[in-house]
Amino acid sequence: MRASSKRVISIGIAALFLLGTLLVYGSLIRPTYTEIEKKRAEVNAAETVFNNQKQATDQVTKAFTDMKNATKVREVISQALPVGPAMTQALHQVESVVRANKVVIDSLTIKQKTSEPNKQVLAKRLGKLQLNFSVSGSYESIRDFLKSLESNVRVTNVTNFDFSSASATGDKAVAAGTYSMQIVAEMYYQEE
Amino acid sequence: MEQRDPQTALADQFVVDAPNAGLPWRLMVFSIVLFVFSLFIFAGIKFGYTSYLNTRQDNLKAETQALAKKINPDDQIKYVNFYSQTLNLKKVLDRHIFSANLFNFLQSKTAINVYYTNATFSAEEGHVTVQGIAATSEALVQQLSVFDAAPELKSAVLTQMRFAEGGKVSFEVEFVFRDNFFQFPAL
Repeated sequence: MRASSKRVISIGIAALFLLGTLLVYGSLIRPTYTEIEKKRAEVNAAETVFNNQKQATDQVTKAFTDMKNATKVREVISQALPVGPAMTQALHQVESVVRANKVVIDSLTIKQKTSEPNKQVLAKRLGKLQLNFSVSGSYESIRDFLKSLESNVRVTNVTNFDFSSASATGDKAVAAGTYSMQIVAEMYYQEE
Repeated sequence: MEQRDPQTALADQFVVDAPNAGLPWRLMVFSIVLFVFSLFIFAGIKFGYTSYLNTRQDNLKAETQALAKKINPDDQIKYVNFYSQTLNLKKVLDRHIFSANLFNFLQSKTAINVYYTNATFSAEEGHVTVQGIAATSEALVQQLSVFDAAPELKSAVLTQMRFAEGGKVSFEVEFVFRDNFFQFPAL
């Protein structure tokens, strides 16, 4: 074969391989690279989700541990705002305050009111107990009774009261210096 | 010195160099190497890197799911309860009032010759109505001026006044207290 023919053939083969290289790049490498870019973005997103989740899990685990260690705090909170109506506890508290302040309880009714929804997604609804009661006793007793009721462990809000002397209500039979008070109060609980 | 044939010497003058095939041959080898290299790159990213990324993605998914399972459902419920209780307690304490502060106020702001017969309190409307009896009208005026000067009050309005036997005056006053008056317990 003549040298010039060999040269032409080698140039032709080189051109074919270069063309082949371009084809491999254009039709195989580039699409695969695009696919890989997409996959890398997915992996990055998954990594971010995992890291966030891990951070959140660590925080939650720490919060759980803190909560478990804060037994006293939990107890106090549960007394101030029990889970469930705990009517017996409510009655017991009123009765203790009545006894401690030497007033006489004339009537008492308790009823459940509509619960309040919470703005926070996870938080449970706030339940209310409405207490209507009437007490009588000396001025100091009733005053101290009201103070004790409002500073009681279970949070109690007095929404209305009507305080009057026995003579003002026309009850002449009641000894002088006796007063009566009609109270409407609210106690709270958390729905289960 | 060797004598050369003059014809041979002349022919030597016209000898042309054999054609140099080095460049095309090298170009061909280079293009083959480039082609093989491109195939290698393709195989590397297709079967090496892609499968690595797939495995990594699967592992991350599995680890994320495992993280979610790490939290005990019982603890979760307890925590939600605790969180709700804390949140609700704050809400309740924010609106907690001490209506008994009224007694301290009346005890310290009542003039001589004046006493009260009735007091009503409404947290929702935010006011207190007090009924009482003053020994004389002067005593009532004196009492009203004490109320006017009281820093705890926004307003004290005399809503009713009636003269009774013996120069006594029965009256009714409506108080509107300052916003923070019922917020903290009186000492």
